[in-house]
Amino acid sequence: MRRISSLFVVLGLSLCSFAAASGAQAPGSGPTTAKFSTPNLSGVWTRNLQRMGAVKNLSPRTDVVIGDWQDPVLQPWAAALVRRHGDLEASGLAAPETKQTCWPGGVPNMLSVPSSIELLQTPTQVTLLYTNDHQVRTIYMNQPHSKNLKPSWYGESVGHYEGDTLVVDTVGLHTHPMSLFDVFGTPHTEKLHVVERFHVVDGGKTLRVDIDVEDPGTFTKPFSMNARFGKVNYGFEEYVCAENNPLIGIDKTAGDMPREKYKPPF
Amino acid sequence: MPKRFVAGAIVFVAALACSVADAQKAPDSEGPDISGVWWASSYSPKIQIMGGGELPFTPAGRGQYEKNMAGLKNGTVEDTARTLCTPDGVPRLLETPYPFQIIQTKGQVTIIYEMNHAIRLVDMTKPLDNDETLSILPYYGGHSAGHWERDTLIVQTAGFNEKTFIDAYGSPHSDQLHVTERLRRINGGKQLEDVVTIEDPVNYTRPFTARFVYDFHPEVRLEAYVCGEPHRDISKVRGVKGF
Repeated sequence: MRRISSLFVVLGLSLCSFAAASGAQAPGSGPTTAKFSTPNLSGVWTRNLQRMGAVKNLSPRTDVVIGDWQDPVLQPWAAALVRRHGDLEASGLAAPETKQTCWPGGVPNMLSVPSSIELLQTPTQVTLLYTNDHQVRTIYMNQPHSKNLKPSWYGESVGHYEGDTLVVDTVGLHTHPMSLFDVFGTPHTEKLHVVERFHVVDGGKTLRVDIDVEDPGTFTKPFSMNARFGKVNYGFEEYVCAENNPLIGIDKTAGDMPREKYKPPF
Repeated sequence: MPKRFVAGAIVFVAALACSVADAQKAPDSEGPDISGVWWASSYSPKIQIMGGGELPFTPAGRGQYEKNMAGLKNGTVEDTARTLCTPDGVPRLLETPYPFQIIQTKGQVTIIYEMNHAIRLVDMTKPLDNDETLSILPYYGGHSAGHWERDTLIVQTAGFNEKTFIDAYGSPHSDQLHVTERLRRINGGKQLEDVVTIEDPVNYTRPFTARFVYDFHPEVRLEAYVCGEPHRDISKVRGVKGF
Protein backbone atom coordinates (compact mmCIF):
# COMPACT_ATOMS: atom_id res chain seq x y z
CA MET A 1 0.00 0.00 0.00
CA ARG A 2 2.87 2.36 0.87
CA ARG A 3 4.40 1.66 -2.54
CA ILE A 4 1.10 2.47 -4.26
CA SER A 5 0.81 5.73 -2.30
CA SER A 6 4.30 6.71 -3.40
CA LEU A 7 3.30 5.99 -6.97
CA PHE A 8 0.38 8.41 -6.63
CA VAL A 9 2.73 11.10 -5.39
CA VAL A 10 5.25 10.55 -8.19
CA LEU A 11 2.56 10.50 -10.87
CA GLY A 12 0.86 13.48 -9.28
CA LEU A 13 4.05 15.54 -9.17
CA SER A 14 4.85 14.60 -12.77
CA LEU A 15 1.39 15.72 -13.82
CA CYS A 16 1.95 18.98 -11.99
CA SER A 17 5.31 19.56 -13.70
CA PHE A 18 3.74 18.73 -17.06
CA ALA A 19 0.94 21.20 -16.45
CA ALA A 20 3.41 23.89 -15.42
CA ALA A 21 5.69 23.24 -18.40
CA SER A 22 2.87 23.35 -20.92
CA GLY A 23 1.55 26.57 -19.48
CA ALA A 24 -1.80 24.98 -18.60
CA GLN A 25 -3.59 26.81 -15.85
CA ALA A 26 -6.77 26.08 -13.99
CA PRO A 27 -9.34 28.83 -14.58
CA GLY A 28 -9.39 31.36 -11.79
CA SER A 29 -6.08 30.33 -10.29
CA GLY A 30 -3.71 32.22 -12.46
CA PRO A 31 -1.87 35.32 -13.01
CA THR A 32 -1.00 38.20 -15.10
CA THR A 33 -0.51 37.76 -18.80
CA ALA A 34 -2.78 37.20 -21.74
CA LYS A 35 -1.77 33.55 -22.11
CA PHE A 36 -3.66 32.82 -18.89
CA SER A 37 -7.38 32.83 -18.47
CA THR A 38 -7.51 35.43 -15.74
CA PRO A 39 -7.70 39.10 -16.75
CA ASN A 40 -4.54 41.17 -16.67
CA LEU A 41 -5.19 44.13 -14.38
CA SER A 42 -1.56 44.54 -13.33
CA GLY A 43 0.35 47.77 -13.72
CA VAL A 44 0.25 51.36 -12.54
CA TRP A 45 -3.09 53.19 -12.77
CA THR A 46 -3.80 56.75 -11.80
CA ARG A 47 -6.93 58.36 -10.41
CA ASN A 48 -8.79 61.04 -12.37
CA LEU A 49 -10.39 64.00 -10.60
CA GLN A 50 -13.90 62.60 -10.64
CA ARG A 51 -15.62 62.97 -7.26
CA MET A 52 -16.85 59.60 -6.08
CA GLY A 53 -19.20 59.30 -3.15
CA ALA A 54 -22.55 58.43 -1.65
CA VAL A 55 -24.01 61.77 -2.80
CA LYS A 56 -23.49 64.43 -5.50
CA ASN A 57 -21.04 67.33 -5.25
CA LEU A 58 -22.94 70.63 -4.95
CA SER A 59 -19.80 72.71 -5.41
CA PRO A 60 -18.95 74.01 -8.89
CA ARG A 61 -15.29 74.26 -7.86
CA THR A 62 -12.89 71.32 -8.05
CA ASP A 63 -11.01 72.32 -4.89
CA VAL A 64 -14.12 72.64 -2.70
CA VAL A 65 -16.21 69.58 -1.88
CA ILE A 66 -19.77 70.03 -0.68
CA GLY A 67 -21.86 66.88 -0.52
CA ASP A 68 -25.61 66.96 -1.11
CA TRP A 69 -26.61 66.39 2.51
CA GLN A 70 -30.30 66.38 1.55
CA ASP A 71 -29.88 63.19 -0.50
CA PRO A 72 -32.44 60.69 0.87
CA VAL A 73 -29.84 57.88 0.84
CA LEU A 74 -28.32 59.40 4.00
CA GLN A 75 -29.81 58.63 7.40
CA PRO A 76 -30.24 61.81 9.52
CA TRP A 77 -27.06 61.35 11.59
CA ALA A 78 -24.99 60.84 8.44
CA ALA A 79 -26.67 63.82 6.71
CA ALA A 80 -25.69 66.05 9.66
CA LEU A 81 -22.02 65.08 9.31
CA VAL A 82 -22.02 65.59 5.52
CA ARG A 83 -23.63 69.02 6.06
CA ARG A 84 -20.99 69.99 8.63
CA HIS A 85 -18.22 68.85 6.28
CA GLY A 86 -19.71 70.94 3.44
CA ASP A 87 -20.15 74.00 5.68
CA LEU A 88 -16.47 73.85 6.66
CA GLU A 89 -15.44 73.59 3.01
CA ALA A 90 -17.78 76.44 1.97
CA SER A 91 -16.36 78.67 4.69
CA GLY A 92 -12.92 78.33 3.14
CA LEU A 93 -11.54 75.91 5.72
CA ALA A 94 -10.38 72.50 4.58
CA ALA A 95 -12.57 69.86 6.18
CA PRO A 96 -10.62 66.91 7.59
CA GLU A 97 -10.13 64.07 5.19
CA THR A 98 -7.83 61.13 4.64
CA LYS A 99 -5.25 62.61 2.33
CA GLN A 100 -4.66 65.68 4.51
CA THR A 101 -4.38 63.87 7.80
CA CYS A 102 -2.37 60.73 7.00
CA TRP A 103 -4.99 58.27 8.27
CA PRO A 104 -5.59 55.20 6.09
CA GLY A 105 -8.18 55.68 3.38
CA GLY A 106 -10.22 52.57 4.09
CA VAL A 107 -12.65 50.96 1.67
CA PRO A 108 -14.09 52.28 -0.61
CA ASN A 109 -12.68 55.75 0.14
CA MET A 110 -9.15 54.73 -0.88
CA LEU A 111 -10.49 54.58 -4.45
CA SER A 112 -11.30 58.29 -4.30
CA VAL A 113 -7.94 59.49 -3.00
CA PRO A 114 -6.05 61.10 -5.90
CA SER A 115 -3.20 58.65 -6.14
CA SER A 116 -1.56 56.20 -8.45
CA ILE A 117 -2.15 52.55 -7.71
CA GLU A 118 0.20 49.72 -8.61
CA LEU A 119 -1.80 46.52 -8.88
CA LEU A 120 0.05 43.21 -8.42
CA GLN A 121 -1.59 39.87 -9.24
CA THR A 122 -0.45 36.48 -7.96
CA PRO A 123 -2.58 33.31 -7.79
CA THR A 124 -3.26 33.73 -4.09
CA GLN A 125 -3.34 37.48 -3.64
CA VAL A 126 -4.03 40.78 -5.36
CA THR A 127 -2.14 43.69 -3.84
CA LEU A 128 -2.88 47.38 -4.31
CA LEU A 129 0.04 49.70 -3.60
CA TYR A 130 -0.92 53.36 -3.32
CA THR A 131 1.55 56.13 -4.06
CA ASN A 132 -0.34 58.30 -1.58
CA ASP A 133 1.32 57.64 1.78
CA HIS A 134 2.48 54.19 0.57
CA GLN A 135 -0.78 52.61 1.72
CA VAL A 136 -1.31 48.91 0.97
CA ARG A 137 -4.47 46.86 0.43
CA THR A 138 -4.42 43.10 0.22
CA ILE A 139 -7.12 40.99 -1.43
CA TYR A 140 -6.99 37.28 -0.58
CA MET A 141 -8.06 35.20 -3.57
CA ASN A 142 -10.49 32.29 -3.65
CA GLN A 143 -11.21 31.99 0.04
CA PRO A 144 -14.12 32.80 2.35
CA HIS A 145 -14.19 35.57 4.92
CA SER A 146 -12.63 34.77 8.31
CA LYS A 147 -14.79 33.89 11.25
CA ASN A 148 -14.52 36.25 14.26
CA LEU A 149 -13.08 39.03 12.14
CA LYS A 150 -11.49 41.87 14.08
CA PRO A 151 -12.54 45.17 12.45
CA SER A 152 -9.68 47.19 10.92
CA TRP A 153 -9.01 50.19 8.65
CA TYR A 154 -9.11 48.17 5.42
CA GLY A 155 -11.28 45.36 6.76
CA GLU A 156 -10.91 41.97 5.13
CA SER A 157 -11.06 41.73 1.34
CA VAL A 158 -11.54 38.42 -0.45
CA GLY A 159 -11.67 38.13 -4.21
CA HIS A 160 -12.26 35.93 -7.23
CA TYR A 161 -12.37 36.35 -10.98
CA GLU A 162 -15.60 36.35 -12.99
CA GLY A 163 -14.61 36.43 -16.67
CA ASP A 164 -12.68 39.66 -17.24
CA THR A 165 -13.54 41.04 -13.79
CA LEU A 166 -11.91 40.88 -10.38
CA VAL A 167 -14.71 40.77 -7.80
CA VAL A 168 -13.69 41.89 -4.30
CA ASP A 169 -15.90 41.55 -1.23
CA THR A 170 -14.94 43.63 1.83
CA VAL A 171 -16.34 43.55 5.37
CA GLY A 172 -14.89 44.21 8.83
CA LEU A 173 -14.30 47.94 8.33
CA HIS A 174 -13.96 49.63 11.69
CA THR A 175 -15.18 53.08 12.67
CA HIS A 176 -13.04 56.03 13.69
CA PRO A 177 -13.58 59.81 13.33
CA MET A 178 -11.33 59.68 10.25
CA SER A 179 -12.58 56.41 8.72
CA LEU A 180 -14.68 58.25 6.16
CA PHE A 181 -16.75 56.63 3.44
CA ASP A 182 -15.97 59.29 0.80
CA VAL A 183 -14.58 62.80 0.15
CA PHE A 184 -17.83 64.42 1.37
CA GLY A 185 -17.19 63.40 4.96
CA THR A 186 -19.87 60.68 4.85
CA PRO A 187 -19.41 58.34 7.84
CA HIS A 188 -20.09 54.59 7.98
CA THR A 189 -20.73 51.90 10.57
CA GLU A 190 -19.20 48.45 11.01
CA LYS A 191 -22.14 47.07 9.01
CA LEU A 192 -20.56 48.50 5.83
CA HIS A 193 -20.28 45.88 3.09
CA VAL A 194 -18.54 46.79 -0.16
CA VAL A 195 -18.34 44.76 -3.38
CA GLU A 196 -15.90 46.12 -5.97
CA ARG A 197 -15.68 44.90 -9.56
CA PHE A 198 -12.33 45.80 -11.17
CA HIS A 199 -12.16 45.49 -14.95
CA VAL A 200 -10.22 47.03 -17.83
CA VAL A 201 -12.12 49.03 -20.46
CA ASP A 202 -11.29 51.40 -23.36
CA GLY A 203 -8.95 48.89 -24.98
CA GLY A 204 -6.72 48.65 -21.92
CA LYS A 205 -6.48 52.37 -21.22
CA THR A 206 -8.86 52.51 -18.25
CA LEU A 207 -9.35 50.50 -15.08
CA ARG A 208 -12.99 50.81 -14.07
CA VAL A 209 -14.21 49.85 -10.62
CA ASP A 210 -17.97 49.39 -10.14
CA ILE A 211 -18.82 49.50 -6.47
CA ASP A 212 -21.92 48.18 -4.70
CA VAL A 213 -22.43 49.46 -1.19
CA GLU A 214 -24.68 48.56 1.70
CA ASP A 215 -24.60 49.86 5.25
CA PRO A 216 -27.99 49.72 7.01
CA GLY A 217 -26.46 51.74 9.86
CA THR A 218 -25.73 54.75 7.63
CA PHE A 219 -27.68 54.54 4.38
CA THR A 220 -31.40 54.12 3.75
CA LYS A 221 -30.79 51.65 0.89
CA PRO A 222 -27.98 49.89 -1.01
CA PHE A 223 -26.53 51.86 -3.92
CA SER A 224 -23.78 51.76 -6.56
CA MET A 225 -21.02 54.10 -7.72
CA ASN A 226 -17.86 53.81 -9.81
CA ALA A 227 -14.27 55.00 -10.05
CA ARG A 228 -12.00 55.15 -13.10
CA PHE A 229 -8.23 55.06 -13.35
CA GLY A 230 -6.05 55.71 -16.40
CA LYS A 231 -3.09 53.49 -17.35
CA VAL A 232 0.25 55.24 -16.96
CA ASN A 233 3.76 54.35 -18.02
CA TYR A 234 5.67 55.97 -15.21
CA GLY A 235 6.66 54.03 -12.15
CA PHE A 236 5.73 54.21 -8.53
CA GLU A 237 6.86 57.30 -6.63
CA GLU A 238 7.67 57.75 -2.95
CA TYR A 239 5.18 60.09 -1.26
CA VAL A 240 5.44 60.46 2.50
CA CYS A 241 2.34 61.96 4.09
CA ALA A 242 4.08 62.40 7.44
CA GLU A 243 6.24 65.15 6.01
CA ASN A 244 4.58 66.38 2.84
CA ASN A 245 1.20 67.32 4.23
CA PRO A 246 0.76 70.94 3.14
CA LEU A 247 -2.07 71.62 5.57
CA ILE A 248 -0.47 70.46 8.77
CA GLY A 249 0.43 73.40 10.94
CA ILE A 250 -1.46 75.80 8.70
CA ASP A 251 -5.03 74.78 9.20
CA LYS A 252 -5.94 72.83 12.30
CA THR A 253 -9.40 72.01 10.98
CA ALA A 254 -7.68 69.36 8.90
CA GLY A 255 -7.14 67.52 12.15
CA ASP A 256 -3.96 66.43 13.79
CA MET A 257 -1.64 64.17 11.90
CA PRO A 258 -1.22 60.76 13.52
CA ARG A 259 1.71 60.77 15.90
CA GLU A 260 2.85 57.74 17.87
CA LYS A 261 1.08 57.84 21.22
CA TYR A 262 2.63 54.54 22.18
CA LYS A 263 6.34 54.52 22.79
CA PRO A 264 7.58 51.75 20.50
CA PRO A 265 8.48 48.66 22.51
CA PHE A 266 11.69 48.14 20.57
CA MET B 1 -8.50 -0.89 -6.11
CA PRO B 2 -11.01 0.77 -8.49
CA LYS B 3 -9.42 2.53 -11.47
CA ARG B 4 -11.49 5.62 -10.85
CA PHE B 5 -10.07 5.92 -7.34
CA VAL B 6 -6.50 5.55 -8.59
CA ALA B 7 -6.97 8.24 -11.23
CA GLY B 8 -8.70 10.48 -8.73
CA ALA B 9 -5.91 10.09 -6.22
CA ILE B 10 -3.28 11.00 -8.82
CA VAL B 11 -5.19 14.10 -9.86
CA PHE B 12 -5.70 15.03 -6.22
CA VAL B 13 -2.00 14.75 -5.43
CA ALA B 14 -1.19 16.67 -8.61
CA ALA B 15 -3.58 19.43 -7.64
CA LEU B 16 -2.14 19.52 -4.15
CA ALA B 17 1.44 19.67 -5.43
CA CYS B 18 0.54 22.38 -7.94
CA SER B 19 -1.38 24.45 -5.41
CA VAL B 20 1.51 24.31 -2.95
CA ALA B 21 3.85 25.51 -5.70
CA ASP B 22 1.40 28.15 -6.93
CA ALA B 23 0.77 29.48 -3.45
CA GLN B 24 4.28 30.83 -3.38
CA LYS B 25 4.44 33.10 -6.39
CA ALA B 26 3.05 34.01 -9.76
CA PRO B 27 4.02 31.39 -12.36
CA ASP B 28 5.43 34.04 -14.69
CA SER B 29 7.83 35.54 -12.16
CA GLU B 30 11.46 34.68 -12.65
CA GLY B 31 14.11 33.22 -10.38
CA PRO B 32 13.91 31.08 -7.27
CA ASP B 33 10.95 31.51 -4.96
CA ILE B 34 11.54 33.71 -1.92
CA SER B 35 7.97 34.99 -1.71
CA GLY B 36 5.81 34.85 1.41
CA VAL B 37 5.67 36.35 4.88
CA TRP B 38 8.95 36.52 6.83
CA TRP B 39 9.53 37.62 10.42
CA ALA B 40 12.72 38.13 12.43
CA SER B 41 12.99 36.25 15.71
CA SER B 42 15.37 38.78 17.22
CA TYR B 43 15.90 42.52 17.15
CA SER B 44 18.91 44.73 17.80
CA PRO B 45 18.66 48.53 17.94
CA LYS B 46 22.36 48.70 16.99
CA ILE B 47 23.54 47.28 13.68
CA GLN B 48 25.76 44.22 14.27
CA ILE B 49 28.77 43.94 11.95
CA MET B 50 29.59 40.43 10.72
CA GLY B 51 32.75 39.31 12.50
CA GLY B 52 32.15 41.80 15.32
CA GLY B 53 33.78 45.16 15.99
CA GLU B 54 32.70 48.76 15.85
CA LEU B 55 31.48 50.65 12.80
CA PRO B 56 34.48 51.96 10.79
CA PHE B 57 33.65 55.64 11.17
CA THR B 58 35.51 58.40 9.37
CA PRO B 59 36.18 61.43 11.63
CA ALA B 60 33.12 63.13 10.10
CA GLY B 61 31.04 59.98 10.63
CA ARG B 62 32.06 59.65 14.25
CA GLY B 63 31.26 63.29 14.91
CA GLN B 64 27.79 62.92 13.40
CA TYR B 65 27.19 59.63 15.25
CA GLU B 66 28.07 61.16 18.62
CA LYS B 67 25.91 64.18 17.88
CA ASN B 68 22.96 61.93 16.94
CA MET B 69 23.42 59.68 20.01
CA ALA B 70 23.49 62.66 22.38
CA GLY B 71 20.59 64.37 20.61
CA LEU B 72 18.38 61.27 20.67
CA LYS B 73 19.01 61.01 24.42
CA ASN B 74 18.33 64.64 25.33
CA GLY B 75 15.57 65.19 22.77
CA THR B 76 17.32 67.69 20.50
CA VAL B 77 17.35 65.10 17.70
CA GLU B 78 13.97 63.51 16.94
CA ASP B 79 13.76 59.96 15.60
CA THR B 80 10.88 60.86 13.26
CA ALA B 81 10.70 57.28 11.99
CA ARG B 82 9.36 56.39 15.44
CA THR B 83 7.51 59.57 16.46
CA LEU B 84 5.91 60.60 13.15
CA CYS B 85 6.24 57.34 11.23
CA THR B 86 8.37 58.74 8.43
CA PRO B 87 10.05 55.89 6.51
CA ASP B 88 12.90 53.95 8.15
CA GLY B 89 14.84 53.74 4.91
CA VAL B 90 17.38 51.08 4.02
CA PRO B 91 19.13 49.35 5.78
CA ARG B 92 17.19 50.28 8.97
CA LEU B 93 14.07 48.58 7.55
CA LEU B 94 15.93 45.27 7.63
CA GLU B 95 16.07 45.52 11.43
CA THR B 96 12.27 45.53 11.75
CA PRO B 97 10.75 43.39 14.54
CA TYR B 98 7.48 43.20 12.55
CA PRO B 99 6.75 40.77 9.71
CA PHE B 100 7.14 41.64 6.04
CA GLN B 101 6.00 40.05 2.79
CA ILE B 102 7.86 39.44 -0.45
CA ILE B 103 5.80 39.32 -3.65
CA GLN B 104 7.37 38.18 -6.93
CA THR B 105 5.77 39.23 -10.20
CA LYS B 106 7.11 39.63 -13.72
CA GLY B 107 9.98 42.12 -13.73
CA GLN B 108 9.64 43.13 -10.10
CA VAL B 109 10.21 41.95 -6.55
CA THR B 110 8.02 43.86 -4.09
CA ILE B 111 8.71 43.92 -0.36
CA ILE B 112 5.94 45.17 1.92
CA TYR B 113 6.87 45.81 5.53
CA GLU B 114 4.10 45.75 8.11
CA MET B 115 5.84 48.48 10.12
CA ASN B 116 4.58 51.81 8.78
CA HIS B 117 3.44 49.95 5.61
CA ALA B 118 6.79 50.65 3.97
CA ILE B 119 7.01 49.49 0.35
CA ARG B 120 10.16 48.58 -1.55
CA LEU B 121 10.06 47.95 -5.28
CA VAL B 122 13.01 46.09 -6.76
CA ASP B 123 13.25 46.52 -10.52
CA MET B 124 14.41 43.22 -12.04
CA THR B 125 14.42 44.49 -15.64
CA LYS B 126 17.50 46.70 -15.69
CA PRO B 127 20.58 47.68 -13.68
CA LEU B 128 20.49 50.55 -11.22
CA ASP B 129 20.82 54.02 -12.77
CA ASN B 130 24.07 55.89 -12.12
CA ASP B 131 24.44 58.11 -9.05
CA GLU B 132 23.98 61.32 -11.02
CA THR B 133 20.59 60.20 -12.36
CA LEU B 134 19.47 58.84 -8.99
CA SER B 135 20.41 62.06 -7.20
CA ILE B 136 17.65 63.92 -9.08
CA LEU B 137 14.98 62.22 -6.97
CA PRO B 138 16.39 61.06 -3.65
CA TYR B 139 14.05 58.80 -1.65
CA TYR B 140 13.95 57.61 1.97
CA GLY B 141 14.02 54.05 0.66
CA GLY B 142 16.37 54.84 -2.23
CA HIS B 143 15.94 53.22 -5.63
CA SER B 144 16.49 49.47 -6.00
CA ALA B 145 17.39 47.15 -8.86
CA GLY B 146 17.97 43.42 -8.60
CA HIS B 147 19.10 40.30 -10.40
CA TRP B 148 19.48 36.60 -9.59
CA GLU B 149 22.77 34.80 -9.10
CA ARG B 150 21.71 31.14 -8.80
CA ASP B 151 19.67 30.91 -5.56
CA THR B 152 20.46 34.45 -4.43
CA LEU B 153 18.64 37.71 -5.15
CA ILE B 154 21.17 40.55 -5.35
CA VAL B 155 19.57 43.95 -4.67
CA GLN B 156 21.49 47.19 -5.23
CA THR B 157 20.02 50.31 -3.63
CA ALA B 158 21.18 53.93 -3.91
CA GLY B 159 19.71 57.40 -4.45
CA PHE B 160 18.86 58.05 -0.81
CA ASN B 161 17.95 61.27 0.96
CA GLU B 162 19.80 62.06 4.21
CA LYS B 163 16.77 61.93 6.52
CA THR B 164 17.21 58.42 7.92
CA PHE B 165 19.59 56.59 10.24
CA ILE B 166 21.36 53.28 9.60
CA ASP B 167 20.03 52.02 12.95
CA ALA B 168 18.14 53.13 16.07
CA TYR B 169 21.41 54.37 17.62
CA GLY B 170 21.55 57.15 15.04
CA SER B 171 24.42 55.77 12.94
CA PRO B 172 24.55 58.31 10.11
CA HIS B 173 24.65 58.04 6.35
CA SER B 174 25.03 60.50 3.51
CA ASP B 175 23.36 60.62 0.10
CA GLN B 176 26.37 58.64 -1.16
CA LEU B 177 25.09 55.55 0.65
CA HIS B 178 25.14 52.35 -1.44
CA VAL B 179 23.52 49.20 -0.09
CA THR B 180 23.98 45.73 -1.57
CA GLU B 181 21.78 42.91 -0.29
CA ARG B 182 22.12 39.19 -0.96
CA LEU B 183 18.86 37.40 -0.15
CA ARG B 184 18.40 33.63 -0.22
CA ARG B 185 16.47 30.87 1.50
CA ILE B 186 18.47 28.84 4.00
CA ASN B 187 17.75 25.93 6.37
CA GLY B 188 15.70 24.01 3.80
CA GLY B 189 13.75 27.13 2.94
CA LYS B 190 12.48 27.79 6.44
CA GLN B 191 14.55 30.93 6.80
CA LEU B 192 15.52 33.90 4.64
CA GLU B 193 19.01 35.32 4.94
CA ASP B 194 19.82 38.91 3.96
CA VAL B 195 23.53 39.70 3.95
CA VAL B 196 23.80 43.44 3.52
CA THR B 197 26.91 45.44 2.61
CA ILE B 198 26.87 49.14 3.40
CA GLU B 199 29.13 51.68 1.70
CA ASP B 200 29.24 55.39 2.47
CA PRO B 201 32.66 57.03 2.00
CA VAL B 202 31.53 60.19 3.82
CA ASN B 203 30.82 58.42 7.13
CA TYR B 204 32.70 55.09 6.94
CA THR B 205 36.30 54.30 5.99
CA ARG B 206 35.37 50.96 4.35
CA PRO B 207 32.31 48.93 3.39
CA PHE B 208 30.91 46.80 6.22
CA THR B 209 28.52 43.87 6.27
CA ALA B 210 25.64 42.77 8.52
CA ARG B 211 23.46 39.65 8.38
CA PHE B 212 19.75 39.38 9.07
CA VAL B 213 17.79 36.13 9.29
CA TYR B 214 14.01 35.86 9.11
CA ASP B 215 11.69 32.90 9.71
CA PHE B 216 9.03 31.80 7.20
CA HIS B 217 5.52 32.48 8.55
CA PRO B 218 2.96 31.37 5.96
CA GLU B 219 0.22 31.56 8.61
CA VAL B 220 0.74 35.29 9.26
CA ARG B 221 -1.16 38.03 7.41
CA LEU B 222 0.27 41.53 7.47
CA GLU B 223 -1.91 43.86 9.54
CA ALA B 224 -2.72 47.55 9.03
CA TYR B 225 -0.07 49.58 10.88
CA VAL B 226 -1.34 53.02 11.75
CA CYS B 227 0.82 55.65 13.37
CA GLY B 228 -0.70 56.59 16.73
CA GLU B 229 -2.53 53.30 17.26
CA PRO B 230 -1.41 50.20 19.18
CA HIS B 231 0.21 47.55 17.00
CA ARG B 232 0.67 43.79 16.94
CA ASP B 233 2.31 42.21 20.00
CA ILE B 234 6.00 41.69 19.19
CA SER B 235 7.16 40.81 22.70
CA LYS B 236 8.16 37.32 21.49
CA VAL B 237 10.87 38.84 19.27
CA ARG B 238 14.14 38.63 21.24
CA GLY B 239 15.58 42.04 22.04
CA VAL B 240 12.15 43.69 22.10
CA LYS B 241 11.29 45.10 25.52
CA GLY B 242 7.55 44.37 25.47
CA PHE B 243 4.76 46.65 26.55
